[in-house]
Amino acid sequence: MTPFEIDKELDEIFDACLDRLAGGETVEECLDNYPEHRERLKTLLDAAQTALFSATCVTPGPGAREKGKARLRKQLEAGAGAGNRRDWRTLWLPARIPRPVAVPMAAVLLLTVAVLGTGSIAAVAAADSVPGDSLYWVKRTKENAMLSFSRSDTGKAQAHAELAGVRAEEIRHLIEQGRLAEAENHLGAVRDHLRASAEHAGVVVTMNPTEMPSTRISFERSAELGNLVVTLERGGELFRIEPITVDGTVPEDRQQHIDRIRWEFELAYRALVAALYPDTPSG
Amino acid sequence: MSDKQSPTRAQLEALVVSAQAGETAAFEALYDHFYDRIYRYVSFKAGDATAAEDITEDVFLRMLKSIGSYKHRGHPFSSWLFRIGHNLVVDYFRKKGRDKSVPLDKVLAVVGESSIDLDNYVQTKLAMREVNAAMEDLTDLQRQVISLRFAGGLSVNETAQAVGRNENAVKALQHAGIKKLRKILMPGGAPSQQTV
Repeated sequence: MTPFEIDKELDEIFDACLDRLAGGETVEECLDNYPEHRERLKTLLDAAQTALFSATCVTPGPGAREKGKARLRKQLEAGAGAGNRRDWRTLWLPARIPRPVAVPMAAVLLLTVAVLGTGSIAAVAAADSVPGDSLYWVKRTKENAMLSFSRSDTGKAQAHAELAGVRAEEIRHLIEQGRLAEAENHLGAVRDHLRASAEHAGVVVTMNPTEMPSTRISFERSAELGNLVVTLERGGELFRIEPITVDGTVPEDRQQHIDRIRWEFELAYRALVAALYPDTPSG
Repeated sequence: MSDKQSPTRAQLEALVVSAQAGETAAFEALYDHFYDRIYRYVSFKAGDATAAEDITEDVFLRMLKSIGSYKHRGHPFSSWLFRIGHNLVVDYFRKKGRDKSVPLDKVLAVVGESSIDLDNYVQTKLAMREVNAAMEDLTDLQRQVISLRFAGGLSVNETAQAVGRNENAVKALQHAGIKKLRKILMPGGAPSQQTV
């Protein structure tokens, strides 16, 4: 057995023992099943048990669970749940409006909806489109229009950071459709958004900090840009939060291609986060 | 590393679908099922009892707000929920002024009613202090894997989905992480204190 295979076997055994410890078995009971690895396993399992104990001995304060549940219930009653659907009638004919007023109002609303409907339907249909789809230009036009509504630099930086996330979802779809070359090309659109975000945030992003150090943001401004950093950190982890799923077995070269796209994507985000917050916490 | 009477993954997914449809009972069932694990995970990472309770509440409020956007896509709901927990802990440290060190008294305040016996209480305090300090020397990914596996009680598969790695990588990370913890906690090879 090669050292690599031994390590892999130990990983498996250690993992099985962890589950058994968590289930209430003792270290000795676990070791009895693996006499050939007893020496190496014992110290590891002792440490694991200490860590396991330390991690699981905590309990919330009295009433904390019920307090949290009451808060959840209150939000549910207030209709905050994403799944809560309001009765459609309450959306356009509130009970307080007298019927003689409400009916013509509804007619005007319907007419407006009919006029705007065509454009709206196209915009909705385009929401999930990806580069190469016939309605993709509708999606980008709508985004550009929305970008123009952001007046402050911080707002524009935030809008571009969010649009980089939209491009990331498109990359995911392209990869899932097997269009790897297009997905890789689309990384350019992510970088464009991040570059624009950086410009509006007032930082210079560089891959070579020796030649051109990133601009440090002053403390006051960093507080203002806190939301942007949170958006960027989450954006950069998009493919970790929801890993890309490809049907069937992926050949190694394609998997490497997908990994490369993912790494370049994360690198683009990390460069900007590092420029904004050189000492960003992680983990 | 999950509770013995836990609902199956299929049952959990059914609860999630019901919650997405706005069923209060389904939200409450998800809350009951995940509360302790999320609390343990958050307190293990944040090290502050009061903050952990607040963050745990926020995790479920965020769940309530965002559950419509959860798509199964082959990875479990628990991974999605613990990612919310992870993000809120990161936000917490950011708001605190990006200071990751946790005052000792706050770490120890996390120990709850389960350790009312004085001897156990002292040992628990010592164990938590040492483990908490030792965890700082792990890599981010090792720390994340150990927090999810040990405190969050996630399975290897769920942990893998939460950190975006495959199962073998998670097993290797937890092995390497514990090996490093052992060197810090038990430099001479013997446990520095009694464990449960």
